[in-house]
Amino acid sequence: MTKREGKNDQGLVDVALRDQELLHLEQDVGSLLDEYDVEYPSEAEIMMTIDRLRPFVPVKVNKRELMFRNMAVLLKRALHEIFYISPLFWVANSLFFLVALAAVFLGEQNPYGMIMILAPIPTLTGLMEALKSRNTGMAELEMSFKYSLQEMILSKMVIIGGFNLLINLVISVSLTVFYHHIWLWKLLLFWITPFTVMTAIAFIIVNRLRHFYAITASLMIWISFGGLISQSHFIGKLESLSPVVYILITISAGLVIIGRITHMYKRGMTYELNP
Amino acid sequence: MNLILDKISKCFGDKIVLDDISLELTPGVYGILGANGSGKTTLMRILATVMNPSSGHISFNGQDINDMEHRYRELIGYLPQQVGLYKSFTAEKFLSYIAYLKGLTKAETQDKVTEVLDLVGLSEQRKEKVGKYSGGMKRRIGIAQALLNDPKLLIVDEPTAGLDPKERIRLRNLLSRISSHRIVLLSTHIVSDIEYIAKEVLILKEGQLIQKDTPQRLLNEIEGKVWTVQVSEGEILELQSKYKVVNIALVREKYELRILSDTRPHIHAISEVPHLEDLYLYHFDEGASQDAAVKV
Repeated sequence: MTKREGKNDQGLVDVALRDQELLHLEQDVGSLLDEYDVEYPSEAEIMMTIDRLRPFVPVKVNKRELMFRNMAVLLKRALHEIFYISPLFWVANSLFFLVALAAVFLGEQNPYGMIMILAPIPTLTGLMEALKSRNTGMAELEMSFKYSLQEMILSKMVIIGGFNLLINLVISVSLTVFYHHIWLWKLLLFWITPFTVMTAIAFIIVNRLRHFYAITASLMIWISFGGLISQSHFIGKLESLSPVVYILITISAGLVIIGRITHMYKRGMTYELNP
Repeated sequence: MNLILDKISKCFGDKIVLDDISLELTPGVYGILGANGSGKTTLMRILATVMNPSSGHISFNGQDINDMEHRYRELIGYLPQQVGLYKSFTAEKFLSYIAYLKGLTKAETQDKVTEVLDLVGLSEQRKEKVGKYSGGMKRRIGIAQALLNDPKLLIVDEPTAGLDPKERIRLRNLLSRISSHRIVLLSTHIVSDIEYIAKEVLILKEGQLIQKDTPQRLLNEIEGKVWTVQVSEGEILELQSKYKVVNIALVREKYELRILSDTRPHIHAISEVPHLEDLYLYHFDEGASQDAAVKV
């Protein structure tokens, strides 16, 4: 017998012994487990365990309910913010409103052109209010509060949008009451298109740039555009455009606004202070 | 109640601003000492949730603050180093607005505003616009807003910067008074701000926490290393070149030098009781000898 054959035989014996040991151990553990009895808990104990675990069970969220709840909270906050918006914002926009009315009633300007010029101005001036935290050095502090900075900005944007809606509705209704040849739906279209487009741009500015110069630039661009609109041949061209064009532009801008609001609400602004 | 920081790091690009900070905080005043750029403000911003750490976790009473979200923010009061305030608001209106942003109810707000204005000694100026306040009053209104929600964790970054000595002492005493049931984290590079009120001092250097201990134990470390000696003007330069001279004062036509040294720096040198300022300069000594001011 060679040395290698001897080692192999010894190995086989070791394996057989180990198997036998395992078999014994399995039998011992088996008999121990057979004797072991798990006591069934009482009804009271079961209920107590369920009650203790209940706080840790994730609550099933009803998405629609959550959306309505979030909207209600947002509106509540927006209403509260009204009292903290600078009086300058209300005064300046009331003046714009009066100037627009005077231009139509006294200056005999084209009412469609006038409402188009006025439409986005409250939103653009309102951006200054929305970005006030950053400009006044309050942003860092406000980021540490229960209501996040983006929630506050969103609340302010809701007020600004609501105010814009109100101011333009008042003008549109006043014009149609006094000038019977003016079509209300056309006025609304001439208001809602620049309003949604500029609001969409405003949300992008708020979300990304957050600088006052961007607002000033937007206002300047719009006022220059207003100068163009006030020329009768240009407003004539705008009036000749199909309403479908306006509706498509409005829908596109509306989608951008919804997208921006959802983004701000869900993820917040990617805002981080630098050292 | 405890706040645990577990391996907190923060990087801006390649620059490491905070490096692997781990510590536990319990109620009391903690003073964070560090030179400019040592990472104090970054650490405070991370704790105030206005900045995210690059890595690591923070837990409050065992719960991760990211999971707690606004429940954590409800528990904190924060005063950043630079805070602008809404200048056109009166103190009362400003605090009411902040109370609303902190989620206080209308019923709670009025009482709480009155309480914090009393606490910071601004009750008589409650109808004045905060834009007209002095620097000290602005810092006090800053503290007041931080206290509105009765925070469990108060984070104040350089609260005494730019204040005159009287205002600094007043603010220091105020922080000490309100620290009994909360964790107060106070960052400063003015050592005397924390010398008498801090339960523990955290020393940050180049983004690393190099020491965390009671002021007394930290001072024991430099016991026997602080000396004073009166010398003539001609000897000053020589001593400055050999030792860390932390102060030079003119006393009866002689110059009294305060020196940090392991050995007696001069035959007439007397061993002194160390102060936290000595400890600070022991760690942040760059240029101290050259910058030591002459006090007359």
